[in-house]
Amino acid sequence: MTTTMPALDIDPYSDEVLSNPFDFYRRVREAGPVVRVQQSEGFDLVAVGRDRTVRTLFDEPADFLNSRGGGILDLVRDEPFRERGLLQENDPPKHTAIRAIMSEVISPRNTRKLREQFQFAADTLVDRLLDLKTFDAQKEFAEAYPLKVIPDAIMGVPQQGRENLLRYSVFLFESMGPRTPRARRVLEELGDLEEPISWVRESCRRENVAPGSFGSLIWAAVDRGELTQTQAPNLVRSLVGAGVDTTIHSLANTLELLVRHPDQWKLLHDEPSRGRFAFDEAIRYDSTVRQVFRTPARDTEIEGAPVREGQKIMLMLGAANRDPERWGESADQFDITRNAGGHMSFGRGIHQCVGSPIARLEADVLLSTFARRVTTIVPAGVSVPMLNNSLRGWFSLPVTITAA
Amino acid sequence: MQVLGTTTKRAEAGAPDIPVVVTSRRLMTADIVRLTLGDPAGGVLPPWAPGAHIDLILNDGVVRQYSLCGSPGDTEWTIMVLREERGRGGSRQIHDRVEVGHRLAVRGPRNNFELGIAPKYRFLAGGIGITPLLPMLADAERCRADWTLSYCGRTRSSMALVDDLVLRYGDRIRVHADDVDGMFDVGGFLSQPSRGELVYACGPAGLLDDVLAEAGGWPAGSIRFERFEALDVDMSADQPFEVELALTGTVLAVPADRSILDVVSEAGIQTLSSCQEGTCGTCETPVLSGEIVHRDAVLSAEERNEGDVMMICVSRAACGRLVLDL
Repeated sequence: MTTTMPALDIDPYSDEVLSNPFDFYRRVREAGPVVRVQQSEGFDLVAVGRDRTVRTLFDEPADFLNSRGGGILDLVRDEPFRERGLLQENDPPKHTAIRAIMSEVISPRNTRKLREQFQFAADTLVDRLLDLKTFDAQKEFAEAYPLKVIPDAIMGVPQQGRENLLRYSVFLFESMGPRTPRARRVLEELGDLEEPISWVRESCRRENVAPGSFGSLIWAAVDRGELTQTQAPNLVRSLVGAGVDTTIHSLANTLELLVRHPDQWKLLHDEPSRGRFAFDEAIRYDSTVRQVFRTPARDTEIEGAPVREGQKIMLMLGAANRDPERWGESADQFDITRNAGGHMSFGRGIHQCVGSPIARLEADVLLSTFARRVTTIVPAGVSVPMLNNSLRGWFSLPVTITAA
Repeated sequence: MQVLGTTTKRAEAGAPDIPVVVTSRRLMTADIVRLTLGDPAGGVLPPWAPGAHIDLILNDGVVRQYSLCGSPGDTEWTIMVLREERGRGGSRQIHDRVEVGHRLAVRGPRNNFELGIAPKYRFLAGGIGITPLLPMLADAERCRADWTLSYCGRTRSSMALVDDLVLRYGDRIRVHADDVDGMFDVGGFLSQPSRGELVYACGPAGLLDDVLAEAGGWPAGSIRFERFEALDVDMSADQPFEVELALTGTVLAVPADRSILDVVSEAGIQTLSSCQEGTCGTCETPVLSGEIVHRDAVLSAEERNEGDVMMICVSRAACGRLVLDL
């Protein structure tokens, strides 16, 4: 049975929605399983925000494609802003072998080996934060930690020029949405991107990835004949592009939620081993990745609502994570003792974030170490949210801490 | 057909297991073993047609699918198994442990790759992908069809039966060894389709993808594939067991039809999980004692053998009680 699709006169990329998306999330969920939304730059968008619908689309990768882009642009019809990603912007059957190689690179065993060096980096960082006492947690906590451990362990890229990663990521994640006046301004302020783009390209080359890093494991697949010389740098790039900003903002969002919910901070401080649960609940409560897109391979229906081949479907991860049908009456509460398993923030199915074990390990180590050694954390000024087409996060997050 | 992939599917319930006994075992190349399977009672195994495969049920309820590659008139079944060092252990189990006289259970045969009738065939085999095609070649020859086989492999010595095929079928067989001949020219292989001609291809995903990409000039339905398939898990024989949570000493009963993750979460113990189907690795839990039935698609064969960790969303106990570090 075909039904008429409800429509909402709301632009998901407006500054209002980017600043506070939760009312928009609720309205999309309540309007129906598939909802037409307005987009000022003229993109024809339908959104899905219920847990069940988002889950179904993730579970049907042959019908709802990734190869036409995880962002708002259609990689078949629109001009791509970069070379297509072999891992994310790909469908089975071609995706299958690539995914298998990447899952093996980021295997539980390879990830577990990182714990010691992550712990050392966390101890060193918390030493420094206890000296500072008052600091911008966005820079000194959320950016400092991944920028230390990710380039070392994951990519094995050179120390010099790591600040390019942040500029590259802003470019990447803004480009996955429309060129709104705000996004255009941000991209203009980034200035000439030649340097970060070529720094990233150079960092992915065989001679520039450190031995033992995940980047070198990807290159090792070339030696075994499983990847070509041109595929390897593309996959190293996917770690660089997807693994830095997402983790930074997730750490910042988690800390900000803990500052805003002192009872939850106390639960964590009293039992620092809850770090990993606090992180997963934080990204359930406020998904760092706002949305991803899927594209129907042919004209079809989603729960009775017709969608066209090639039409971009916006999977609203943050909306699904607050769906009372899935999370009950307490969906809108931040509760680190909740069982947050099964949230959509890392996606689901064959495209589920391949790097999520690394992000979870980083968060577990850093949050547990921080909570063990810090008794109180309070705001030290006004926090400034960062608006971005794809990500939720903070521009600055001033806090004051006291030692345990 | 060989096994590859990362999804875990439930085996269809209801199909009865057929007991078989290994009647011969022969190494065809350094990495390929050929087994013949017979009826332990000395009778005749069920009939099949070219393209059919059977499910071979291994330890831990793991199921692997193999094409039948003997002759449909035989009273016994023949399969060939490539040893996959980097697979999840099914093929290594067969290579290392299965000997003549061993009893195994199988299901099937089933056929998703039947040979249609045509005046002309082009067959393409990549490596172990030769297996479903072998009985097809005999059929095509018997029907006096015009046919060729392009048989590709990394090296000639890695290609099972290559010399036998050349001896038997002469210049119908085109051997392509990558180390001598370079990249196989899929475009050339698919050039100039003739009316009514069918293509049958079996091999690694990359080769089949290339065939798909070059399939432009062929009518719909004229190119047929056997893809490597994902593993199946038979859950019908799952048993209840207990888990002991080391931090509190709590003992919980895990019924046959529920996961450890469900039971532990229901008891109010906080756990981290994500996909809840054994593919993401989030719910990895240290195991202090007990034998594990690993059902995930994440751990390596080595890690499985060590038995220190498990994915509690899908994996189970092979003993009465597991002690978990929870």
